[in-house]
Amino acid sequence: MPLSLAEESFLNVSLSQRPPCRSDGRNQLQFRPIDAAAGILPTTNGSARIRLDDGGECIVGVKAEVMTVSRGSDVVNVEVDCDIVGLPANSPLQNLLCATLEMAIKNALPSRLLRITNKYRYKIFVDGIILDHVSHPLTLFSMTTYLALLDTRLPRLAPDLVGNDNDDKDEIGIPQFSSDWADADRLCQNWSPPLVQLGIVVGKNVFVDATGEEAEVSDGGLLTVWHDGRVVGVRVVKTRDSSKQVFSVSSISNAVEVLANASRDIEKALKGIISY
Amino acid sequence: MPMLTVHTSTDLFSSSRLGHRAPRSAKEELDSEDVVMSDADSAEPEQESDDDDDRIFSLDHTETGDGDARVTGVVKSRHIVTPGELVTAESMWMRGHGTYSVGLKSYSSVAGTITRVNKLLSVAPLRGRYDPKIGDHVIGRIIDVGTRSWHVDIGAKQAAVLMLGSVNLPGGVQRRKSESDELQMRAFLKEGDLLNAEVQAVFTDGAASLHTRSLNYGKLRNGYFFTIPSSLVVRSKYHTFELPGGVDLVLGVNGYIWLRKHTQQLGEQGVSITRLAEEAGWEIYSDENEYISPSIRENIARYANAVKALRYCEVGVNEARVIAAYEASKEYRSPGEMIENDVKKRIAKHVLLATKG
Repeated sequence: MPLSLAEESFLNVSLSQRPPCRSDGRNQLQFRPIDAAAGILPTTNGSARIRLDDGGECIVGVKAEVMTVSRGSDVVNVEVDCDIVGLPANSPLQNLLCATLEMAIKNALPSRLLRITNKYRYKIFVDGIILDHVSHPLTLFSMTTYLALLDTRLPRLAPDLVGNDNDDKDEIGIPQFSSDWADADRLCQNWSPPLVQLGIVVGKNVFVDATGEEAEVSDGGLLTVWHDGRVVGVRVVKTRDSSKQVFSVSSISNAVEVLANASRDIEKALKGIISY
Repeated sequence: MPMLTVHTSTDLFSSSRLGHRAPRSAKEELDSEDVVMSDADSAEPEQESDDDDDRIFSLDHTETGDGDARVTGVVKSRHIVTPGELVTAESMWMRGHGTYSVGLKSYSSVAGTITRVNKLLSVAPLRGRYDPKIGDHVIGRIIDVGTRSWHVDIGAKQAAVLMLGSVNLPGGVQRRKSESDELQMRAFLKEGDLLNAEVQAVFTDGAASLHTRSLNYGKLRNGYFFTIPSSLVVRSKYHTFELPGGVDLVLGVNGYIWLRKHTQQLGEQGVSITRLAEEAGWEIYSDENEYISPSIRENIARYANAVKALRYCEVGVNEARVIAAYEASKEYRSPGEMIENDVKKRIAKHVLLATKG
């Protein structure tokens, strides 16, 4: 539903003035309350669900599959897929979500974490469904994926194989996993997944967790990939039809700084949900 | 388990025929309340019932026929039912909206409250789309410009119709609508525009016809729009309020809400009907906002959050409660603090205490 010209100008002026005034009074870095839960799908290696205040909801499940690899190959096998309820398959939004997350995880995940033996590796499947979204679902999907990856546990090898660094066995043997599910390692024991954060730009201001109407009056969107305490990637995102595709260097660096701060807070909050 | 007896249908017939449905005294009202309360926890043995019209609905659920009633008790007319719940087992009642019947019994088809008009029983749903009634002050958004009419989304089952003949056109109220007006309808109202209007008529299929033939109605500007469920709007005589803090609230009966900077409305200037013609120029269809100061913008955000807090706690919205919520919210320096759920609850609790009685 398009906004009327008067509404659009009201919102635009409110957001671009300094200091800005969002229609719900939040400050630029403030998120709306979210409802998050991890480990909700029993048949996955890790899963999470996040519900937003505006009714947006996303469920992500992570599955690990054993693959054979040629020796010495360092390829990180990750596949990200998501369904957006109400949009057809291969919609631009879906492609943006999957491609961004897949690229971010592939770049951040060290291949040693997926190693089982020299011949066998895990392949990680991240499957999400966005049940409803009012605002842009990128941050929602990324936060849920982050939480699901934090929750992911990979089974350990059966005891007779552990400690026996026999290369011959490695070559021939199909890995035998411990039958006890509690005997599993967290994927994120000393690694943290990447977090993608979408900010919308209005004039000189940047906002996180934008509502649908805020995105509707924005100049454009900017996403940052946050990993290991720093921003590792930036991309310009279209937030509406007449969205700007080009930003000045100063506005991008300002936005990156704002989004980095937001990502740091979000990462801390999400890590608090999982208890080790 | 003691089974409570209720009025037999002959009792009810005789009482209604004899015209015993006169308003009851407060004492009787209290008595019946007591009876209902004691029925609910089934602690008290049956009390002798008198001619009390509130005790009209039997929830004696003796479908199994073995006399073991699963639900016993007498309910008041303001009883909440869920879909499939027995409303009445008596065949004398006429079944209205929100009910269905199997044999002689009537069941509720929605979750809501039982309402009774004479012999017509209906269930008013707690949630659901807005049901337009003549005279309602609603806010709508243009979704389509047609020939000689606009289609307006008012949150009802069907889009409402706003005829070209039902709006004020620049240059006078009584002016004839010419062909050139038909051709430039988009210059007045176009897709996406918000307006407030009154429901002029409701067609047999439930669609509404609107009019904006008063300077209180028309295109909306200088403000912010959001919605709440229409069931939370308390109907009152007026639906436009001037609130403290330089903000006006237009509380559409359909749950659409417009908060705007307070400005002198054309209708408030006391112009005579003849001067009205000259006053109603093109500016009533302007898309330009006036200058709105940052403090007014913050107040608008504060009011919006106050109403959203009431919505979160399912508290009905009226003028007094909105003002009370605004006053309660001043405890929080930034309106952004009001998006937290426990703050919303605290505000709603404060509002209910402040507006009691």
